[in-house]
Amino acid sequence: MTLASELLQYILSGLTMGGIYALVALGFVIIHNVTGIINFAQGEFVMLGAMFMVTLVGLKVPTPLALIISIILVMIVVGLIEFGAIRSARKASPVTLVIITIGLSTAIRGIALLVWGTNPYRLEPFTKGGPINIGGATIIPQSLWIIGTTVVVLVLTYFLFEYTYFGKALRACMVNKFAARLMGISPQKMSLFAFVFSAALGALAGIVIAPITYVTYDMGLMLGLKGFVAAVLGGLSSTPGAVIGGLALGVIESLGAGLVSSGYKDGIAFIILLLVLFLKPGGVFGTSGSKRV
Amino acid sequence: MKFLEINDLTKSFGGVQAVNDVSFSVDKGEIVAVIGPNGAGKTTLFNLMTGIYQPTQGSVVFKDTDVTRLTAYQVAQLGIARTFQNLQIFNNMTVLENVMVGRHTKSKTGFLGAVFPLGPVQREEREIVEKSLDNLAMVGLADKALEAANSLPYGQQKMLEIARAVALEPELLLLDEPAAGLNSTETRELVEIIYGLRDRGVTILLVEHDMETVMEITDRLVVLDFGNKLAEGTPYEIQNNQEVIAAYLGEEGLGC
Amino acid sequence: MKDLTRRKRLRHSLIVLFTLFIFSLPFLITNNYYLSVLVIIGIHTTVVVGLCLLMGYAGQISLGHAAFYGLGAYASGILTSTYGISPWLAILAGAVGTGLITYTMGIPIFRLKEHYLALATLGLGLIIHVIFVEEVELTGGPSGLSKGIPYLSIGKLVLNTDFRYYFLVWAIALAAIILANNVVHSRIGRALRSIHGSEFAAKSLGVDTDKFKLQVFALSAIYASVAGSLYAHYITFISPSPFGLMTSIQFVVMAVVGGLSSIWGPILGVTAVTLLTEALKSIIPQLIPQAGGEYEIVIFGLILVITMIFLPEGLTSGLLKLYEGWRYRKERADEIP
Repeated sequence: MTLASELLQYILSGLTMGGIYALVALGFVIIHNVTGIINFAQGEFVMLGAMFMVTLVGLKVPTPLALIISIILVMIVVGLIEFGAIRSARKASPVTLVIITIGLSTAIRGIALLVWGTNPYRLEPFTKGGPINIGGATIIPQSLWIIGTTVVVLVLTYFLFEYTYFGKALRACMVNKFAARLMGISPQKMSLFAFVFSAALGALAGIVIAPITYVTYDMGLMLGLKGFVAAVLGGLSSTPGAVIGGLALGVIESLGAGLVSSGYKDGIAFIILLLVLFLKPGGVFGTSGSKRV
Repeated sequence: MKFLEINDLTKSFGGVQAVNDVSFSVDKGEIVAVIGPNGAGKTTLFNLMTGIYQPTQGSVVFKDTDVTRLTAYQVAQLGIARTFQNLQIFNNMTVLENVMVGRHTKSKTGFLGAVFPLGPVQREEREIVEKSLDNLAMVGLADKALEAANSLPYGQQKMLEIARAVALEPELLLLDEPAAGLNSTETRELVEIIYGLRDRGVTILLVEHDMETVMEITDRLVVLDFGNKLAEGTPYEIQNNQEVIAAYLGEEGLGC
Repeated sequence: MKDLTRRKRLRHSLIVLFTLFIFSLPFLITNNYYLSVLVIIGIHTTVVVGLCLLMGYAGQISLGHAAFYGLGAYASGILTSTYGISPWLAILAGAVGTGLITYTMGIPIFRLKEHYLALATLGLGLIIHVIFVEEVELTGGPSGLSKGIPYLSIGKLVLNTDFRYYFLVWAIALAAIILANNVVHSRIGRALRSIHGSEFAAKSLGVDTDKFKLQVFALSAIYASVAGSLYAHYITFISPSPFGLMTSIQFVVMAVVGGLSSIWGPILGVTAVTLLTEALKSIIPQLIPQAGGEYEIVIFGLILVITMIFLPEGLTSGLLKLYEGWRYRKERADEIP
């Protein structure tokens, strides 16, 4: 392989993972903007999505149906969690809320361990067929599914936010929670909605990534953290920022793993994170406005 | 040399001129008040002087040192202390400990000394406690020293904030609406405290809405309106200044 | 002034009493398993005391403490087993090295706030962990150091039993508590708490907040490093797995469960969490025979969530409030004949 095609290969696999990171990051940003919470359990939504999917497909449920049911199941689980745990701690300090979501993430992972055990599961790709050749690099059909899903979801999210009542209410909450409440938008309902919507994004990410990775009870940990990194790269409050952050992280990570060392792949993401935080504490796409005192 | 010089100070927040080209100076030992209607830029002026905000333009010179670009803690180390319009008491500490923090710049125990408190450190600690109790006595809170700071009533919390600022042994003390929320007895106490400080050589610059008190205690006044300096002079001059009266019409009388 | 001295005396006598209690325990408990649990509690207490200084007094969270714990463990492990350096020197080297690394890394990290700060410490921890796994020649990679780590010894006395090691571990844990207590009640401690109370006012009183945050961060990392060294010389084998994110979270859980605003919080938190985990390990297989150690992780997360919701200030202040409530009711009952 020439260097050019090698680079293309890395970029393609980077975009595949980047799409997943973008979906997770989007979930982070939506929850953070609406509720101010950094939801460390976001990665577990991904894992749950993948696990439900694997189980349903194992029960011979047709793939499209299994996909829908899995997403709905994760939404229900997350809805219950929001209702049970997040809501009762509404008045807690930000650090406390972070710790609560860390606890939730640990508990979800533990329950998954009990239900599904430690063995990795595999999911068949959505469509059969060999790798496709693009300019000397190859891409497997499932990668196309991932990239395609990401694009479709982003477009749908965009329309949801721009044109539906719920989307507009969510955006209102993001811009100014107080004013939103004055307009009769219930922050509680919006918090629930933000969590459930992020759950759907996470679950979908888990389902599309399942065929190209091992599905294990602890797969959510790293995916969640990477999604968080992507969200921070994007400024933590910007939805386009989250998407660009996710894709950028995927590509850089893939290039780093290919050109430097694959063992340091996870390290690279966090080194980039630290560099970005140090050089531009508000994130690459963030606005670092000064607080009024 | 002037004690404190404010030169062409300007601060804009996204196009809004909160403070616009304000200049004035303060001599050592004076009591000077900055007055003006709400939103005139008084607190912003204080924040600019104490390094909380960086000005868009202009400079603040304190005893021949340009403090414009210094950070808040560096300004404090030079001997400028302040209180806050919205109380900034350390709620997680006792009354005494609040004042003890005020002596931070006057003591020097470092990290090693904190971990291993040997003789000199303990001596310094005792000195901090004694001096802090003196500061509390000055505002009449000595008997509350060991109570939690947030258990004090509002008026006493304001006094505590003054004691804490005085603990810094400042040469210049900025008081941001010290009389707001105080009843008349407390206000009299406040006036006595301010006179006491002046007699000890502390220069005082205050923002205040209580015109009666302001006119009584100050040597000079600076009037701000919409970020601009409207007038400057003795209480008598200000009370008879047509522009000032016009600016205050529709808000409140000058109260004298 | 008199009241102040009395408070100080009360504090000191509590510490003396507790020390006596701790050092009499190994004579009462002869079961080796219980003793080994107490040794681990002592080691974890040292880490959590440092973490509490950072979280409770400087108001900064760290999700990277397991890595600093690992730095101490690996410094001791590598220096003693590969290079044959004296274990005590290795502990010192680990502490100094960890202090330097965290201080330098802290300079940019502590310019950040809240979530970003938490994430940066998490990132730093993960990077250090990746280095443990990847630098195979130095660390032995995922399978751990191949050569055995020697036991610590004092003169001719080799600390190779739980009974002997217990005294060393708890002497250091108690020293950690006492030194932390000194810091809390010093000029620096007040400066740190003032940051927590109002960073704004702290700065206006001349407190260089960034400097102190940085110093306490380095100090708490040094605590973790020393504890890590003790762990390495106790287990005499190390691999990267105990120094990952889960352990960092576990330390935060212990700190939070105990409560952040008292020096007794860490002991209480570490003890409660450790005992509960150990108890579950032995009880659950009896209730549900086919269950393995998996329940631990579920319970762990649930404890965290429940504590945070119902006792956000931790067990220490929770218990204090219960006690105050009880005393109040008792006084009321005494007043009414």
